Amino acid sequence: MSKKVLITVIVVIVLSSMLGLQIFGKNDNGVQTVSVDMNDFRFQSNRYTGVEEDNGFKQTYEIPENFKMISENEYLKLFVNEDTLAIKVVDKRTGYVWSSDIDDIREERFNEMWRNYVQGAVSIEYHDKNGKKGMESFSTEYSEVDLKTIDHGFSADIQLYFSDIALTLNVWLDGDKLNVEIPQESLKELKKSKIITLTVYPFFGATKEDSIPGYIFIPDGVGALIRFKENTDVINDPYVTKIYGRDYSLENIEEYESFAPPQKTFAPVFGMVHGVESQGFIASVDQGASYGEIVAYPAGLITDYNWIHTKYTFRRSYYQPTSKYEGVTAWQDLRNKFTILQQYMFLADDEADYIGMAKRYRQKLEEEDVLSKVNTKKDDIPIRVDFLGAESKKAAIGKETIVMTDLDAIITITNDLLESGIENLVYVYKGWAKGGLSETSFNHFPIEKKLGNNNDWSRLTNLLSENNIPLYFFVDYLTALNHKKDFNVQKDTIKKINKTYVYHDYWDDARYFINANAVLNKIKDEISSYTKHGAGGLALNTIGYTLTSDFRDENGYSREEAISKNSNILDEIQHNMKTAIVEPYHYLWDKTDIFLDMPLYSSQYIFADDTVPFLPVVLKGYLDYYSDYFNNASDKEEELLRLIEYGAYPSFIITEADSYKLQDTASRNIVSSKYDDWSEQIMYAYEIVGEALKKVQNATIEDRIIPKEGVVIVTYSNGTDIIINYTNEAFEYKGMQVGPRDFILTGVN
Amino acid sequence: MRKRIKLLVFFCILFMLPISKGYAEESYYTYSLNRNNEFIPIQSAYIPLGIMENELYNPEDIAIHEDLIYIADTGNKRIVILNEMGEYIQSFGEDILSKPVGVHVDEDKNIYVADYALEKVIKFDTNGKVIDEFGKPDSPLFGKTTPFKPRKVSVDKRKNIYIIGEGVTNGMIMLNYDGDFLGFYGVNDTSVNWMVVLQKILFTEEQKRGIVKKLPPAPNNITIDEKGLVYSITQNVDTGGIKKLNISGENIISEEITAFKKNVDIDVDPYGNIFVVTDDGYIGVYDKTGNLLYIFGGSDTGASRLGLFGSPSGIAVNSKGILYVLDKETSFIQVFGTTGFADIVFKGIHLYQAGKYNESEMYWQEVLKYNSSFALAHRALGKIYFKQGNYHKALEEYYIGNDKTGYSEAFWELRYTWMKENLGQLIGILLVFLILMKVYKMIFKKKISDTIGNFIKNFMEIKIINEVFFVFDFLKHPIDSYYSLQRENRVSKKSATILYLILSIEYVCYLYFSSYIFAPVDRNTINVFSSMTLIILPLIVWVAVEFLVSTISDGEGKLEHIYCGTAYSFAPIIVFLPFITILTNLLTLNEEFLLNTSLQIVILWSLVLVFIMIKEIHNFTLANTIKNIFITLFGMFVVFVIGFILYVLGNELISFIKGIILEVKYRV
Repeated sequence: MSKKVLITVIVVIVLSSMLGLQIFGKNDNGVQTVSVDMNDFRFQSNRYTGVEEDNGFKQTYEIPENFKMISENEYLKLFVNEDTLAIKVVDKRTGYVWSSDIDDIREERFNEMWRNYVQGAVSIEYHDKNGKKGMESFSTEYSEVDLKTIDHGFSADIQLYFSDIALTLNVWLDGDKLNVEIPQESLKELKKSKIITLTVYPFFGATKEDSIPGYIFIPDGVGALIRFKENTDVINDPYVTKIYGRDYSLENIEEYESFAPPQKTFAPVFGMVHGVESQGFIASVDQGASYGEIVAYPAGLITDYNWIHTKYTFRRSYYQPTSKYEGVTAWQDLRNKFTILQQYMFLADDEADYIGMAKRYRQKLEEEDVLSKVNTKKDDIPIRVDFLGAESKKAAIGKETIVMTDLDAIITITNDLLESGIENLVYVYKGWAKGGLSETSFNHFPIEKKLGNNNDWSRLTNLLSENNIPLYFFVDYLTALNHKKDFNVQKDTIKKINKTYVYHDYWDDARYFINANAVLNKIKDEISSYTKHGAGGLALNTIGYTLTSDFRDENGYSREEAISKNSNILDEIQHNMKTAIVEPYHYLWDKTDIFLDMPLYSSQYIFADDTVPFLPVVLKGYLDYYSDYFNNASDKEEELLRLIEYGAYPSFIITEADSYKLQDTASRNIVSSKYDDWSEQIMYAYEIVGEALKKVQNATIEDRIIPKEGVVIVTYSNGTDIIINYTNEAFEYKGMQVGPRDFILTGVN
Repeated sequence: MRKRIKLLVFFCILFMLPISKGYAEESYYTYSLNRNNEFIPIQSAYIPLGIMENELYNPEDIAIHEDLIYIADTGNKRIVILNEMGEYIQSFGEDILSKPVGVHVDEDKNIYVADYALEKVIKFDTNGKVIDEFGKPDSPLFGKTTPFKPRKVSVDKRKNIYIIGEGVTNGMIMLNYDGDFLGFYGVNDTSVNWMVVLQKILFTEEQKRGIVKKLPPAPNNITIDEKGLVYSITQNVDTGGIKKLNISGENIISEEITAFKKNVDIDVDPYGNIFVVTDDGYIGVYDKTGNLLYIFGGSDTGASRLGLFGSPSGIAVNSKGILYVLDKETSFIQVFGTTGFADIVFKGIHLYQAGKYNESEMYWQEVLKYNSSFALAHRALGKIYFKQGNYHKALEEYYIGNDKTGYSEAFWELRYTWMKENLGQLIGILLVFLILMKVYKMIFKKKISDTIGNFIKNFMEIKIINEVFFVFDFLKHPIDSYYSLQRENRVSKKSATILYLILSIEYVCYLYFSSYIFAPVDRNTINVFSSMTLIILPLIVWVAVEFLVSTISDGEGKLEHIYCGTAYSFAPIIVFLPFITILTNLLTLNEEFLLNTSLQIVILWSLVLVFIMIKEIHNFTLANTIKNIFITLFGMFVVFVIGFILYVLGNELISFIKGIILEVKYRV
């Protein structure tokens, strides 16, 4: 009898250990696993968030006499220096004074140019009438200013002396917000001078080295922090991010370099904390963001100060080819026309940290109707499965279409998934158009016949609608294949400022970028075909993360206008079906039903100290977001924990056929996708992530604490705490054990 | 040469990858090799854990012993010791060292420092006290003029000291425990190219003396593993960029190792895995037999991101698999740790290399779940299945992993089993068939000749068929056949054209249907039209030039005769190539000679026929024929050169016109 028990136990142990390996490759006698010591090192790195020490800060400060109070409201007081237009803002909740300049600047190691730059409200770079480049900062020593008080603030008409450029600077309070505006029409270029760039209050909130504890928040990927430190010589370059990426009409398209591009900037925000949970602000660029870049200098780089600001570009230099091999660098003749509006929202006490920043930005977006609460009725979390239908490959004669996942296979897989208890599925179908994924161009129809006939389509549609599974058709309307000739290069593509066209190399061909008007017309044409095939929605690539102006003479548009053009395209689709956008910038958040490929990391800049979940705090409970493919995870266990921590739903790329068939195709980056290999892992991820996230589906993230390196406590609005332990040691929390590389939930009703 | 192609491919692929998301959570992509030895993006194998700043200044070398990190802090003229977390423990040598560029720690924790400026290797004890100094060896064997400028140093188990000296081309300088010169070790070969060979043949002794003697490239860095095997790297060489040398200085890993040209440092972990770092910031990880596992990292051109480098000068791996990469430009150390994916790959490799094939199987399968294109895993699985006797699965894995030798072995086994089982039956069936035929013939002799025979006869009487089938006559009596070709109009232009077509189709079939083992090119890369052109174009040129040449040299043959004659001269290839194609599918690498010989015979035979054709058709003497053929070949060469020039000029013209249009567009 006991022998039997013993054998059973042994068998169970052996089987379960094998099972453990098959899911995770977890090995107890692992040879190369990171040691406990090095794990500390690992969790100190900027891939994670560090432990927040008691970093409060209180200020004793008298506002200098040369500052005059202009306005006061319930939250804030605004002071201005009439000589430099420098401002000081008092947050009445904490009594803290925020400055745009540096007192006693003559004691610092700044030369005159820098002094003016720091103290003056506005600085510009320009070309004078002879084309010579210069830089000028506002100071009354030379320039003229006409300062008027307006409601809650002031308006200053400035005429810069050397550059002969005039502009109006409006600064006013609005609740807990400070607005800084330079209207487009107020900017005047006198005597043929030409403005290139402009910064306004670049040193607002700047701190000297580590004199004040705190950090800069940068909108890098999911979010990152640069902590105030002593001068360091490790850093050679500042943090610079072009809001909304490059404008391909003015700049070269990114070549495929040997290293990966940095993470995108999804929202034009930046912030500072002076004393954690003491005081801070988050600034958002409400107008002019499409020509702005956010720049942060940590102490030790040029100056002893930590500072962050937005720099606006009115003219850009570009390469003008004059023959095939030669060209000249030219400057934009007409300036980009846009109004600048920056909003600083001040945070006090408990709200003064990166979580508070995200919550304040979330509140702003909610007020602007960009975000609205989701209310899922489903019990289970959704899981996204992308199917790759067909792909094209060079054959002995012409090209052949390889079928990776036909309709029949999707039906089988769906039944299999439903049978194993996964109820809440979201499907994206890639490579469904004729020729397969990399052969899909501007015309998205007809559908690839090898995938199935009409009967198969209706069988699939019925199955999906019975089970409430939305099917998104993956499309990219913004780019089209050169060799397909299904668009007119002269009429439909985007023209660069140098009169060439925007395209990027793609596999053995090139993809041209299509003008937004042509895209809108094409979508209007094709939309009925989608509904006919039972598409629940469109999953849109490229449109979410590119913003390109068009310099054609007729139908051209600026980058600011491109935002509304893209929005119109999305509106047109949303009238008919759902939308899912790949990596959408913030201006499309109200145009998409789900957010695809949410980043889970920052770019890990050398000067950054922490990766923080800014985007998740903004979006959780308002917009469902899905991570990039779990197939690509290099550490599956940790990836699941990160999904849980960030409240992101998992995604998979699935094919029925073996993925090595994709080796000689444009989809060769899909290296593992066969359903047979992944079915168990889908189940596993669904269970693990579902267990944590189904309790907080409609809740928002309210707080986040790092009690120890590698351990995170996330607090949700419904009182649920999720404690995630990345380390290899168990963690004790309020008498409860969180196992190594595990998580627990508390406060669940 | 092959390596250069591979590296070229590396950059092509980087360029050709469509906008691909994923794998982008790090600042770099990680690559491995697929079945065609091309780089493919894979999951991250290493992730950056952070940087260690220790107030170093232009440090040149790093060494790890018992997880303590020793750094040659060149700019600060000292040796710095850190613990594995990068915390400062001690430094020494400030007063002694001048330009320490190499550091090594032996088993007794003695520290050897190569000082470039002092021209010495200095041995310190753990506390930083000088124990010994080694200057330039005074042995006559070392050579009076040989410079002694130590750059790197390493010590083996027997306490022999290996020194890489600048300008020493004889290999590494090897000293014993007491500093006596033992000799040079691990000299590289001078690469031999055709220029050198040509010079050797053509130049007089005097001229030869005038040429600067080509010196072998000097090794750039060295490391020694626990077993005492020496690893060296050499920059700017086509083969043998990374070497693993046994005690007698022979390289025991493949010379064809996929290596970058600018490797600056090498280290080996306790399992024998090899780690190298290049000047431009790429880190290569190899298993102990020299298979490339991963390449990652890159050069930091203003990106300021973890995982990219300014100018790496050293790499070291500790017992836990943590990688430390020293950067002399930024003067800090970047630290990398393995990911779950890399852990599984390593586990699989270690078990596999220890001969525990069955235990390693599930790791390899898990690796393929991560990445189904990882060629090494397929090859390993092929071998595992082979050992298990599962030859069908082994065959499949070897095919996916592109291992022809393994595939051939598995195929041999399968063929053997099949023959063992079926040979008796096969012979039986053959015998029965023969007997039946005999009986059938005996009984129905007449009828056969009546029905089938008649049919064949009628078929053969169709003119064109008859002409085409005349090709068989060329195998038996070529001279007569050429005579009837020319004088009796036995063939026509039409039939010759058909033969050309058959020839090119057979060629494409040969490319396409040859077995995987003997496939001349990868089946996936075949393009029907370009392959056919490759056959037909030279033939057309040949016929045209031959006609022109023979007209000048009073040949009797007309253009038509040359056209037809050439086609029929390829009779052996036309007749036998299909059989050879079938044969490839039955043979293994063991019988390769059979295939090669038959191919050679067929080609030679055809060439002989061409020769006879020229002679017979033009009624030339032997000498005239040879002359004619050489002139024709030269003529063909000229035609191709002119064609190439025209092509280039044509392209230039087009781009010139395009340029003008562009300029007009811009200026107007």
